Amino acid sequence: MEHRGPLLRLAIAGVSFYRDRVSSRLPRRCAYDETCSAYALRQLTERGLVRGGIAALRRYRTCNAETAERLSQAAAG
Amino acid sequence: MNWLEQLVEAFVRWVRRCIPAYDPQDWNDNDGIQFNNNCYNYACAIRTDTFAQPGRATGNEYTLPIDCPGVDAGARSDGLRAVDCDRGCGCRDCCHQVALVVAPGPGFNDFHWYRLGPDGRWSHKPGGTPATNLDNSGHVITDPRTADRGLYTVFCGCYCVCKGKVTIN
Repeated sequence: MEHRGPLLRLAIAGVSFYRDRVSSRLPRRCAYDETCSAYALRQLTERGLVRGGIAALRRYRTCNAETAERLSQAAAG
Repeated sequence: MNWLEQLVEAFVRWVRRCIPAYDPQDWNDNDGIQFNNNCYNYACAIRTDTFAQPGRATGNEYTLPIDCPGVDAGARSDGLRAVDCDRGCGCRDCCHQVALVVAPGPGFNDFHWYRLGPDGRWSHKPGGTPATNLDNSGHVITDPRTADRGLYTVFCGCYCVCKGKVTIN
């Protein structure tokens, strides 16, 4: 079984709490198809605290209306 | 309510500050505010008292006849960003979503805007008439794409209105 340190478990618990208790009470905000919190959970689980955390923060930094517009245009072809 | 629930509640309120709530009392004064602010004002949640027109503030007002591309160009010029209706406006930005529809004519040629509230429902203000959260059939609007829009039969698309990034007049 994969070893998960206490900080990684804390980070995963924090993101999971956000998804279950906070995000569910808000209208959809994320510009991406895979939401930032889902992406963060996946990255933390697959790549660990440091690399996964950095990837999640990078994703969050680009989650804005400009990205939403660009992805919408791309999806429309 | 424990401290954690209070913290969650405060955060939810903080995020929702970006999305204008359905606030007809702020617009429906049956006087200057109501008569001088239209659907574009209401959708953008910006009162100008000038019956704002897409693109006028930035020198790119639409031309007649009114159609989706013309109003779209004016709105984008004002700072609105076109997005899929099912996509959010971004976790980082302080934005809300609006939708553009057009009455293509003949006879009646016009545009109209709806805005999405924090409860996931839409509202609108047809011209100088009162703001409402009901469609032409008297139903609450859960999706402007499927609502009864009357003569506004063409659905153009959705846009993000981000605080401080949109100028209308």
